[in-house]
Parts: sequence; structure tokens; C-alpha cells
Amino acid sequence: MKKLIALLFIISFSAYAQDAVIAVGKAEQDKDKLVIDDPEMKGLSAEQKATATELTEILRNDFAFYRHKFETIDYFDKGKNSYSSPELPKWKENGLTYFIASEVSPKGPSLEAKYKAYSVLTGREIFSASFKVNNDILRNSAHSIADSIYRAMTGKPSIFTSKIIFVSDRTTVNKHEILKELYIMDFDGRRVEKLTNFNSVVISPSVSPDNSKIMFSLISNHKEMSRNRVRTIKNIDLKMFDLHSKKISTVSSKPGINSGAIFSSRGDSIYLTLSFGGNADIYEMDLGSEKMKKVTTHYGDDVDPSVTRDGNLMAFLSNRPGRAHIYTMDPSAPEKDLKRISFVGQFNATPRFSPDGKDIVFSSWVDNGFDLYRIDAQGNQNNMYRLTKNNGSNEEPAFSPDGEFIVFTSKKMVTKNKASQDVFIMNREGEIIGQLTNNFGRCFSPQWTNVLK
Amino acid sequence: MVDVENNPSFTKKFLITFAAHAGLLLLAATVGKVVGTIWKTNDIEIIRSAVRVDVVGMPKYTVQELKEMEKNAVQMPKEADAVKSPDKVDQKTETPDVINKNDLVVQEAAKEKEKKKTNFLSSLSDYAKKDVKKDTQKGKVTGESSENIKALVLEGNRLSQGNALTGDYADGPGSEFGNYVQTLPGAIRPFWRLPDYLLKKELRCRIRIYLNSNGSLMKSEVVESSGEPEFDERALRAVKQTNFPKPSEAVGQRLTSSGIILGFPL
Repeated sequence: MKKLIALLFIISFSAYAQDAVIAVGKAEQDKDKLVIDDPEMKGLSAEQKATATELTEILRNDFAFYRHKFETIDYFDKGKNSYSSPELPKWKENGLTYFIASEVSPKGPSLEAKYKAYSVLTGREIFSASFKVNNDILRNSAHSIADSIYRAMTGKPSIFTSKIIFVSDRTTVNKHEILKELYIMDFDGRRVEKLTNFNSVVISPSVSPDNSKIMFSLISNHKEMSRNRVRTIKNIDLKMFDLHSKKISTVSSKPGINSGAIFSSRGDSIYLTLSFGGNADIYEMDLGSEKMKKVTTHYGDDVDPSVTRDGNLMAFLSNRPGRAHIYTMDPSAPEKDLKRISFVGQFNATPRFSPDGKDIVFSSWVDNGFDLYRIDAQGNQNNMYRLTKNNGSNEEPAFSPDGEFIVFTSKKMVTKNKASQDVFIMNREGEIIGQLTNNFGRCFSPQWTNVLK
Repeated sequence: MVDVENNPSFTKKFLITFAAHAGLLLLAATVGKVVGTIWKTNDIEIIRSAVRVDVVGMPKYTVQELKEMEKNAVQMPKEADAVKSPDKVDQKTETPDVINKNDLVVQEAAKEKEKKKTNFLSSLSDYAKKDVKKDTQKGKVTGESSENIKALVLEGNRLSQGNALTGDYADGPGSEFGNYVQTLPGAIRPFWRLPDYLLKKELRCRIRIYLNSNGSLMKSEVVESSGEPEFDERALRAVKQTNFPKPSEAVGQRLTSSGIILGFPL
């Protein structure tokens, strides 16, 4: 009997061996090898040639931000006409994944740039379009061309057309009276534009979901009559800046309003922190009717809300356990589905959701400065990752609209008494991509604009 | 002195006072109870918050540092390989000892299964032998077989190659062919890479490869496509880039004539 069983085993083994499959296992993530070739230039003046070259450089620089996905390499056959005569088999042989070829020719006073992108492995042309390029809006054109190609390659929008708003104290004249104004720049740190001229202090800006408005807090002077004398009282008002009309309106100027207001996912209401009840609590305020709804009710201080895009989850900071820790809840009703996310760390601050609502990035005090950490929104402590280290004190993180990057401020000691504070960008794995501001005063509260689909 | 006992007005007043006091007491108790409940819920909340503090520490290493460490750990066995002459390819060093946490290799799992089957068979026969002695040695029942089972469990936890005696493949115990093909995944994996968007799709393709007697690739063909040309192409490219270890003569013949199917990833 035993022999029979053994025989059966052997037979089944050999039968199995005939079509045995050796499992190679899961593949590692690979970086795509990308060539953005120099454009073919047709009948361009020297000045136009310079524009065409700059256009290509901007494209290359844009794609370099996604260095965790793409390895941008130089074309080995420089000078060949890759647009008019693509050589897919040769590119494939050389291990390329994507190839972007272009042709630039004059069209009236401006230029016409034709772009083609190939998926080399499949031998397919995945993108072909023509763009009108003007020198004065060159960066705009370049970013939107790069975005179109990126979408064709990955099926997702890029950060190339997004902008970053931030606050800087660079206009400060008197050291004892610090002035902070609002600025906006491209995602790559170029084209910085000043938005406000209050000669006052702008605090914690926030962008509306449709990118049309920026809300921020402002320290303003209120005039008050008391004992027949006019007194000036400083108060933190909530202001709204319309990016299209450039007009500034006051949302609320009630006494006791703190900073930290953010837009709800629909954009028709805001979440803000009010402290008139003795302790700070988070309220939702309807922008139309100005009606208030209490969201947190605990006697501890609840501040710094962040909501997911679907509006179903809110993260905030609370000192109810004794120290500042991160909580999540459903903001539709007071204290609904409250959950504590962080349990350790001396002081945690600024929890911010990723666009998909799956991750929260926050800063935490370690040793003698802040560093940034990422944790999943369920608060699974095993999914907590440290992102920064030995890069000064890193604070105020915010996810990019596609969730691939995090913008933050980093404070570094320059001399014994002087510190620089600049805006940096890293990918979600903590690989620092670059410094966006330099010598631009101390920078605070960077926020990413949304990418509109 | 007033006669207390026989004074009807006193009794009446006493009763009223008594009732009033009892009522007050009851009220106090009720209020206390209500207040107590409120107090208690607050208490519970505070305890809950306090108990759940400080379970783990903040992570010390950054993601980038961890990646660097992982990379170094994986690279080390490869360097050891390079030192060896290509003629004496040792199967033990072929698979790196440190395996990425994501490396779920079904082939390894299948191998463990086979191992369990054959080992189970041997432990069964051991057990059968033991059965005879069992009556005489009641004290130490499963001496050797429990050792076997322990070893089996230990091996089950291990993802590394093991040695030639235990590293069975489907082809039968200690088969040369089995030992050889087990080294293939480790050889191919450094070249088996996918872009982000293909990784997320969870596709599968199968490729049959034929090898020359010196281990060089003779032919490769997709026997089961993933439906995504780029995925198949990537798998084929990984196979083409791999330097396969030199098989023995018998194994080489078999690989030349019938080849072997590789599953990407399974």
C-alpha cells in the first residue's frame, strides 16, 4: 500500500512537471527611460531658436520633478531628425520607454510647436498635437504641453500647471513690526507674484476647490469707541481674495477669530477654529448664510482642520489627550466617528490629507526641530513613515494635487542668530526634489492649488 | 416639659418632617446618581485616552534611508556570486538571503508544499516504524518524527534556498532539474521591472524559454499573453537580459528540447 501511495505521488509529480510554471515573482518598479529630444527647427531666426530651445528645457525640467518615475536621458543620436523620421526599433534596442519628438516652425508673429510622444516598447504613437507658442507666455505654454504629454503617458494629470501660494515676510522693514504678505508662484518656484499689499500680517492661506479664491487670516485694526475715545484694537479677520477680479473681501471680522480656516470639499462652506467659547473648537460656516455649525465639542482645544476631497473625513489637531495629537472624524456631525491617529511624538502639528484621502502628512517635534511624517488615514501605526531628517526644521507640509509630492517649509540656521526659512518640495517618499524659494525672506504656509480636470 | 409622646400635634409634625426629610434624601440620591453617571462617562473618556498613549515610538529612519539599507542588503549576495567562477554555480548563493518583504514567490511556496508532501511521506514512514516500538517505549513517543516536524516547520518559515537535499522540486526528490530551475527566478528578478502603471494592473503572462547547453537563451516565446503588449514585452526583455547559470548536461538537454515555462509573476 505504501509503495502504491509513493508511486501515485511520483506519477502526479511527473505529470505536474510537464507543465510546471516557474514563478518569477512580482516585478520591481522601474523608472521609465525618457528622451525629450531637441526640436527640429524649420526656418527659425536666432531669437526664435533660443525660444524653441528654452521651451525644450522647461519640458525637461518639468519631467525631472517626477524623477521617481522617469529617468530623463540624453538622446544618443543627437542631431537626427527624430520628429520627421522616428526610429522606434533603434530606440527600443537602446532600452528607451518613451520618446518625445518635436518640430518648431514660425507661424505669424509666434511659433508653432508640434509634439509627438511614443511608447517605444509597444511602438505606438501615444500623443500628437500642435501648440501655438508665444515668447511672453512661454512658461505657460511649456507647462501645458508637458502636462498634455504626461497625461497621455500616465493617464493622470500632472503638477505642471499647478501653482503654490505662500506667505513671506520679505517686505518687513522694521524688525519689530514684521509684515507678511501673500505670494503665488509656479510649482517649480518660478514667476513669483505678490498678491496682497496690506502692510500687515497674512496668516495661513487656503485655496478654494475651484482655484478661484484664496482665503486667509489677516491681523487688522478695528476702531472702537470706548469712553468717548476712538481706540484701535488688533483683530484677526478672515479675508477672501478673488484670483480673477483681484478683489479682497471680508468673510468675517468677529472678535476672537483665529487662523486656520480651510474650504470644505464643495467650496460653499469653510471650516475654521473659533475660540470665543473659552477653548478652541472647529466650526463649519456656510459662506452664503454665514451660519455656524459646531463640529468639535470637546473641552480640549481642537485646531488645524484638513478635509478629504470627498468631504467625508476631517483630520485635526487636539490637545484632549494632554499633548497635541492628530484625530480624524466625520465632519457631518459633532464628534462623529472620532478616531485618534497619532499616539507618540512630543508635539504633532499640521495634519494634511493626501488628495485621495488615504494618507496624512504631519510634522512632529523631534530632538530640537520639526520633521515630517506620513501615516495612513486609518492610523495604522505600522504605516507611519519618516520623510525628513537632517534638513533643518521642517514644517507646514501640503500634498500636491496629484498626491506625488509634498511642499513644506524648512528652517535652517545660517549664522548663530540668523535662520533662513524656505519652501521645499519632495516626493511622497521623502526624496527632496528641490528648493523653490531662495533669499525671499522667511516663507510660511505653502499651499498647492488644485489641478482642474 | 411637654409630654412628647402624647402630643398629637407633635406626632403630626414629626411625620411631616420625616416625610420631608425622606423626600429630600431621595432627591439628593437621584440627583447624585444622575450627576454620577455624567461624571462617570467623562471618567471613561479620560481613561481611554490615557491608556492608549505611547504604544510605539516615532520612526527613526526615513523612507530614503530604509530603501538604501534594503538595497545594500540585497546587493551583498550578488557580489559574492561574482567572485565565484561561472562553472561552479552554487545554488545556495543564487538566491539572496535577504528577500524583499514584497517578494511573494509562489514557486517557493509550491516548493514548500512539495517538500511537505515528500517530507510528510518520510515522516509518515518514520511514524510507521515508530509505531512498532511505540508499545515498548511509551515514555518518548515521537522522538525523531517530532524533530522532523520541527525541522519542517522551521524550513517552512524560511524563504531562502535551503540545501540540495531538502530543496526538492516537483520533479522528484533532489532532482537536478528541479534544483536548477529554482535558481531561475533569482537570476531573472534583477531585470524584471515594470513601470508604476503596469505594476498596479496586476497582470500575468507566461513565457516558455529554451536554453542552450551553455545556459544561453536559445528561444523565448509568450505562451500566455497578459493582454497588455508592453507587459509581455517587459517580461521578454527581462528574460533576454538574464545571464542564466550553466546547466548540467542532462538538465541542459531537457531545457533545449522542451524548455521551461516562466510565470510573470506567477
